[in-house]
Amino acid sequence: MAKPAKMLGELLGGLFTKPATVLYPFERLEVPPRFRGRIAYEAASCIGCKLCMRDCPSDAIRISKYEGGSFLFAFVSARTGERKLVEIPNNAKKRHRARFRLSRCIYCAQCVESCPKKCLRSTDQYELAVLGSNIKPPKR
Amino acid sequence: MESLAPSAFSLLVFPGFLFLGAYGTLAQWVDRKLYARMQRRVGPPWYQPVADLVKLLAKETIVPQAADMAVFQLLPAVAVAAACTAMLMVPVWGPGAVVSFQGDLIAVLYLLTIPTATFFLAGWSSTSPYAAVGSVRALTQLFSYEVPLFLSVIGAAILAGSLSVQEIAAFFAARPALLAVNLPGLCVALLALQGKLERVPFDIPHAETEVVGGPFTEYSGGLLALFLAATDMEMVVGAALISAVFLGGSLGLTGAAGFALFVAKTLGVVFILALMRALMARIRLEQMLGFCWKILAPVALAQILADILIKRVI
Repeated sequence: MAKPAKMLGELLGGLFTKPATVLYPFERLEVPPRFRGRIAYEAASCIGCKLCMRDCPSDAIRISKYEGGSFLFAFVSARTGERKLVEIPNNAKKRHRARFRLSRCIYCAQCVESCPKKCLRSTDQYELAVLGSNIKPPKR
Repeated sequence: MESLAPSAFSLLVFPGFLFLGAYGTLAQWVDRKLYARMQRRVGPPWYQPVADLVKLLAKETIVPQAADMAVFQLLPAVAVAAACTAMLMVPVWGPGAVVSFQGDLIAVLYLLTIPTATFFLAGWSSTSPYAAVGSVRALTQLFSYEVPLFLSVIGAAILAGSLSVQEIAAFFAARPALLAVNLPGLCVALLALQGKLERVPFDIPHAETEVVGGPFTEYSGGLLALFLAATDMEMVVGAALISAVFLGGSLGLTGAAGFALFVAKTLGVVFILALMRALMARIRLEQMLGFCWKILAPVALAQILADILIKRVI
């Protein structure tokens, strides 16, 4: 407290300048270029080299293979609770899929750097918190 | 003598509980908004203090098992009541206060000490280590700012030759030039008021980073809301007292003009308090004691001396 009033000019100036902050949910600041947000995956160009998996420091990404042809999807009927398997034809080009665990991802974008085919990229999505899980357990 | 018997209206509605509560809420918003704007933040909307109050009232009130039930629940009401009673003796609009007698200045000052005493007792009766440390700090701090505050106010009283807030205000309203004499006293009173309200840089009793919430650690819900309301009310009464004693009160104006002047002066004091809060960081307890006894008290004493000399001249 050598000079207690050192900031006086700064403070009084603050009264007459625009606030540096915004009212967040109503106004948003523009995301800076090359912002590292949620990772987007493009299956069509993925060759399944799994370099991203190797480099990921928090073990948040998993690349797995689709076994050709078609794959099965399990549906649960909301009315009867009956399980039904539906066969979905595979997209000819799509041979791999990526699973991200957003709770582990630290958004370092190392996977984006590592990918030789540029099928991973950072987006500007940063509002990734949700109120509840979207995955509902089957009704009994 | 009828002026000594305040009606229930003046105690509960104007300028007592309801008016003081509403105006305290407004003053709290002005303080927070100014504080935010000085820090280049947007700041809260005008209804934020009301929303905070409603939120606290809706929450559960928990009384610690080991605490004295009656004392714990009664203290917030005592703090509010003391602030409301003190307001009766300070002129709000026009030159007259609801209650006025020779020596009401002393009564106001003592009534304004009661909230601090309740803070101490509240912390002490909470049976929590944080609350105990906070309340001891509150009491220690009380002995540092109270003396300079009393001395500075008494200086103005000596110059006006009266111990009645209303008469002091009337004296300075008639001779505005003499207000300049009391400028050092005004500065001392503002700093002491900041200490009384336990705001930065004198927020040692409830320094959140050290003692959680100080005396209020164990308070929650409605009881905490009452305590916070009492602090807001105390701020208004303190600002009104400073405006009456050091700034000439309503300057002889009555009615709407007098009330507008009251609002302008009290909010002016709130502005200075907010500026101090933004300007400085919390100091340690012994630094505050040193500051109050080695700087504020001598300045206030010199002020009294100057007032006595000038009183001789005029």
